[in-house]
Amino acid sequence: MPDTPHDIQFPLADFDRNQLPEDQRELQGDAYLQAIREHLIGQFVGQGGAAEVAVTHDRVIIRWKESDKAESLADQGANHLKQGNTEKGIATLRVALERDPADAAALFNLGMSLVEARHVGEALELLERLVAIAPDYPSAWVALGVAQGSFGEIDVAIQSFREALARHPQDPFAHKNLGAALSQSGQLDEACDHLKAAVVLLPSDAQAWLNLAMNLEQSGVTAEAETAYQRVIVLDPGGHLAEKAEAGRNRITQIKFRNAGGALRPDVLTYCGDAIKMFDAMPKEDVQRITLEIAMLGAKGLSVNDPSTKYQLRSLPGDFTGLHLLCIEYVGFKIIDPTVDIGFDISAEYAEACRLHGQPQ
Amino acid sequence: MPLAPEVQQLIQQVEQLSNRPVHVMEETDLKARATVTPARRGAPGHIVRFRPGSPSLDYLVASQLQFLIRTFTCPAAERWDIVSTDTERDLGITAMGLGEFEEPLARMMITSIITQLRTYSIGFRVDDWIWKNLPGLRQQQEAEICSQLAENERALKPETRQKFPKPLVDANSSMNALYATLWGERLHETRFVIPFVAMGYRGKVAELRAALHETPDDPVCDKMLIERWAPVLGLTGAFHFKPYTSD
Repeated sequence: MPDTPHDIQFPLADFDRNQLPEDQRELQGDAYLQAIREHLIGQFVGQGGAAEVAVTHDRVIIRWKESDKAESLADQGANHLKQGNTEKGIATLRVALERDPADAAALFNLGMSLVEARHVGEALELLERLVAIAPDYPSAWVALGVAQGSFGEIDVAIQSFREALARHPQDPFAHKNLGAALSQSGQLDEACDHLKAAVVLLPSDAQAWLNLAMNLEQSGVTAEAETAYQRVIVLDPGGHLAEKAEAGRNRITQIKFRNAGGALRPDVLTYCGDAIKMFDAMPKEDVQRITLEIAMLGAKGLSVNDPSTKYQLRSLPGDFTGLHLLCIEYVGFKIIDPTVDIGFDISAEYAEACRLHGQPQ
Repeated sequence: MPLAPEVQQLIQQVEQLSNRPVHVMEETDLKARATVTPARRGAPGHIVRFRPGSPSLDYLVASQLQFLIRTFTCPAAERWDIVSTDTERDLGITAMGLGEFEEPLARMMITSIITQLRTYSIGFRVDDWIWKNLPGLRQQQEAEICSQLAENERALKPETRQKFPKPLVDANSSMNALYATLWGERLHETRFVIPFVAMGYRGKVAELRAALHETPDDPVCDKMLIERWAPVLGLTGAFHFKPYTSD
């Protein structure tokens, strides 16, 4: 690749005015020269080098220096998307496609970004073009499947994901998305195989673990589902995926809890009754302090189904099981803010405890 | 004159496909770098001619042979030639703005641009095949293509462009611009694209490129590719295809 600049000159008369935007074609004098200059500078963006453009009254002069780090327009667009500049990314990718309608990288990245921007119709068109032109482009069929899935065409999406795997059997995203789509269409066993393959190939992908956890939960494989949910919480602390995982874990805990003690659990009934009596004799600030301390502790996870694990509070003396603390928290929130859902349903036991203690619910 | 083993194989392939021998010979006065004349009218074989002294002889011969292979891999009924009737030629002469020229010169120029339409469109297929399948000729191919790129750039000089009418210059430059774009990308020689971009050929490049990508890379579809390029270049109606015969 030459380091020296490459000079190009041609007469101004050879410049075709029709290249300029319509409102600039009638310009005269310096304004015309300036418009040409700006137009040409824009044309050379993404061309793999740097251009200096001078336009005199009789000629156009371009000094071109190729760059070692030449980056295609499609790559530039993809980088804008990675940096969160969606609008700029989409605009750049559109220019890349104007220049080359068969630019596979531009078709892929623009298609995917339009799916995310919910312009699914256009995304489908681009991704269908991509698989027609470059059927082996990495993840092309996965992207098409994602777009089809977003359009509600799950069966068609499943076919695309299968095509992706036929071409690239180790494509983690094909496994991940095929597993999710099969789960969605109720084919849980086959889905599980793909979701397990996905987490092996993408061990740090919280969404892949969440897909697996939900599939396992739906299939009733609760112990493995809990482990998978726990993995999501570790990988996406505080994120929306972790929130979903927390909810899933709570559902499993509750099922186990119910399975262990029947319709109305006497231990919960006792804990709720004790909490009602205790809080009845306390100022509301103390109720609040104790309740919030348990809520904070619970954010890290209380072991509700294991009576051997004990917890201590700063605001209340004694050793407590997880279930006991949960009951105190439940009753506490009923006093300080009844709209709070702690994600664990002991409403039947609470109602019965209120009735026994002559308290309104 | 020893040819590389892969070129020898191509010669055998042509001979098997066409049942005619291939003769490779020097020709000092040849204007093009290499040409091929298919065996017809009782000629004993196909003749590939080349200008002596070329360091890229294997590539030049291989590319001419590939043109023949593309023809002969088509079923006999699908083989064709490009020809023009007088009416088509006149239409082309008018479309290319050649009406002001002496008739023999105008005819020569319209024939030349139609030949370029064929050699460039199918030439992309040929070159792509060589690039992917004959890595031993890669160095020669790169050298020849760079030389062609430089030659095409020289054709953009104002003094050259001014000699010919704009429609003809545009048809020629559009194909050269696509050549510069595709090979500039592949060889990381983007400088060759710059003058074409500056002169406004990007739109034509996109149209020709779309046709190239959308037309299947199967010799049977070569005719379709030429048909798609013709309106982009203003050459619709200036030629037709007639069945290929060896007579």
